[in-house]
Amino acid sequence: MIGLIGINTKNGRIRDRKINHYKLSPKRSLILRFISTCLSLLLVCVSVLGPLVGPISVYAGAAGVKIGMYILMMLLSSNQVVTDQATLNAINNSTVLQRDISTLQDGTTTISDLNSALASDPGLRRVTVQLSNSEADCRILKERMIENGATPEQLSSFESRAATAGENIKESAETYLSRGEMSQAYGGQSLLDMNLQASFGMVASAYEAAKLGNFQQFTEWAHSAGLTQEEIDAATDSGAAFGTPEDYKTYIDQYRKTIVNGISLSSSNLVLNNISGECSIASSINLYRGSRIYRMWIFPAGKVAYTTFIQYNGNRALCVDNISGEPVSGKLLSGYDNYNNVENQQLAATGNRTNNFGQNDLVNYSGYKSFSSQYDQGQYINSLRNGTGIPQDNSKSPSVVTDNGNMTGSYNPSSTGNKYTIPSQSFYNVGSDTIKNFPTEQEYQSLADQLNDNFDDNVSNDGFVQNWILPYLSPRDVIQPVIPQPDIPSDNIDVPTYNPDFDPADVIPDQPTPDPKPTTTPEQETENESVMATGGLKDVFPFCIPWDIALMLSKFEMEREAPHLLCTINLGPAGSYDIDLNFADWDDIASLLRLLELIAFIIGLALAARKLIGD
Amino acid sequence: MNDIINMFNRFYVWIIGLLPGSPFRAFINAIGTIPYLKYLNWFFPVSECIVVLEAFLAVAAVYLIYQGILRYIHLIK
Repeated sequence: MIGLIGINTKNGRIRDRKINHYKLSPKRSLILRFISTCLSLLLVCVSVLGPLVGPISVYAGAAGVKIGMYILMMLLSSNQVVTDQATLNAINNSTVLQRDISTLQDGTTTISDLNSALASDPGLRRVTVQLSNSEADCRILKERMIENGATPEQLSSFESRAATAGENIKESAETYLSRGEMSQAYGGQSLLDMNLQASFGMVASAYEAAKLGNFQQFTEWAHSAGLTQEEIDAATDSGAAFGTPEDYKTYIDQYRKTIVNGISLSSSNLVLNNISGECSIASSINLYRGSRIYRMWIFPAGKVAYTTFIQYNGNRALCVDNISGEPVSGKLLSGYDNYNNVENQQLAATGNRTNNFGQNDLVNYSGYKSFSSQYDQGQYINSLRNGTGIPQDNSKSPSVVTDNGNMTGSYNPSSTGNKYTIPSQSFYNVGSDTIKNFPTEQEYQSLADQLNDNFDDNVSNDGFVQNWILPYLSPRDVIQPVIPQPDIPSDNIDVPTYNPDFDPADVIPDQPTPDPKPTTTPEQETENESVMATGGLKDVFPFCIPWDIALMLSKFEMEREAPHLLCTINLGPAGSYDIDLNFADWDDIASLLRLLELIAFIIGLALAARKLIGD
Repeated sequence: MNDIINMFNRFYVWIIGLLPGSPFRAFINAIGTIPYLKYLNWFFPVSECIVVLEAFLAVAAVYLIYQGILRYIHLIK
């Protein structure tokens, strides 16, 4: 050893002799340092893990003894029938399974049955939550109407229609339940009344999920999909019906195929807006990405006024203002009222609100229909631009008939069917210059193609509108709005007054300056291409390696959970034994363990730093 | 000027387009589906270690950049 380090003690003197002869080569020195570092880390890990070895050994020893006994008993009585007691217990203890097996499939379940089963069945509770929410919505709407100075006649009319709608929901739920169609019964009907597309995310094999009663699977899927715990909890509390992760993925894939390249154009009577002196109806483009819908409201001037980001969690929609990036109401939508809130807040932001609650009541929302489900997209767009109109297809008419004030006359089909055409001259100045400024069918198609080619499903929501939507929607001629005649009693309404200087561009930060040219500017093109190139660099070899490594490490990051091992060992005549090894009991020790491991990791990094930055 | 920039950009995108995609991405994405990762996180502070590692690499990168600059101007060898 002394010779190794090059020290000699000849003649009682310590002196350096032939030290170069014993000097290690750089390669050997490096190997020796590496080995010493590994040994140090190993020692640290052993010292840290040591306290856990004892308890684990006890459990492992006990399990080993029982397994040994089991093998011994199996040898002694090889014909013993082993029953899966855990499965039997799960079936017997699962009210959801029992309900599906014995009640739903025979088609006799009624609302009364549901109410009586609620106390013990979380699955069925969802139906009542849906119903009670609708009733609460009606109550809130009525209060809002009173605040806004609704007349007694209007209130009476609203109550009558709300009661009818509520009965319809209950009847529908009962009908669907009697057929065993749980996905529809779990709130789908009322959402169909509100918005044909709002059932998206809810329909996904919720029946299968109900049969399994496996909400944990949804939670896991939701986590992997990037939902926050708050969103998941809200969805759970709202009574959403959940499918398995595979169900959702399968359904989403199928749903995408039914939408023309993931884009549909809708026209809604939700928004009345006065631009250029005409009462217009905002159209929207819905971009379907997974369980999310990005909805852009476009006025006839061809301008994107604002964009809402809607995420459907289960059977409820979560609205997030894409301008601010914050949830509009801070919680899941609760039926019609929250939709109303969304619209009001958005319109208030634009300072261009001209409608009132007297028009946007429950039934008004029930009349919201999606043209995308009834008409060919390109045909509809062309009809708007050309002013030709297309005939109503009564075979695909919505089941709910709007019956409110201004909308009734020329917009909605009667119960017996009519021959009206859309676009209606009453609401669209068909063929006018402003209508011609709608994006063309080809532009919509181009947008869809671009999105489908380039959109990464895992991309963050941040900058979605800025980077993906706006570049494809050309700023068009914006006609200065004229001052409308607001018919809202302004004393009790918390909305800003109309701003005559309103420019829709103001509501979208950093939006390109409106340009009368129908194409994007070269600067925009350059920026877009740079963005695409930068994004592509991360995906091509060999430049992708650093990002791949970072992605790989991030994949290991997951919400921690204490292992919980539960197994039953049947020992035949000797009985069965349940082994319940729950590491949650050692959470405190585990946190200390993690802390020590983190310290060891930092020490390791410090040692590695010597090599990285040089001695 | 914009035409020139656009031309270079297009050439750059074309070059990037010639390169093959990441051969690891499919396997890496499959890591997230491995069961029991949450248990691993219970035993080992993965997220904290990633944060520390990121911070370490960031400061190390800064140091190496400084070192490179100093070498370039011959302040150190």
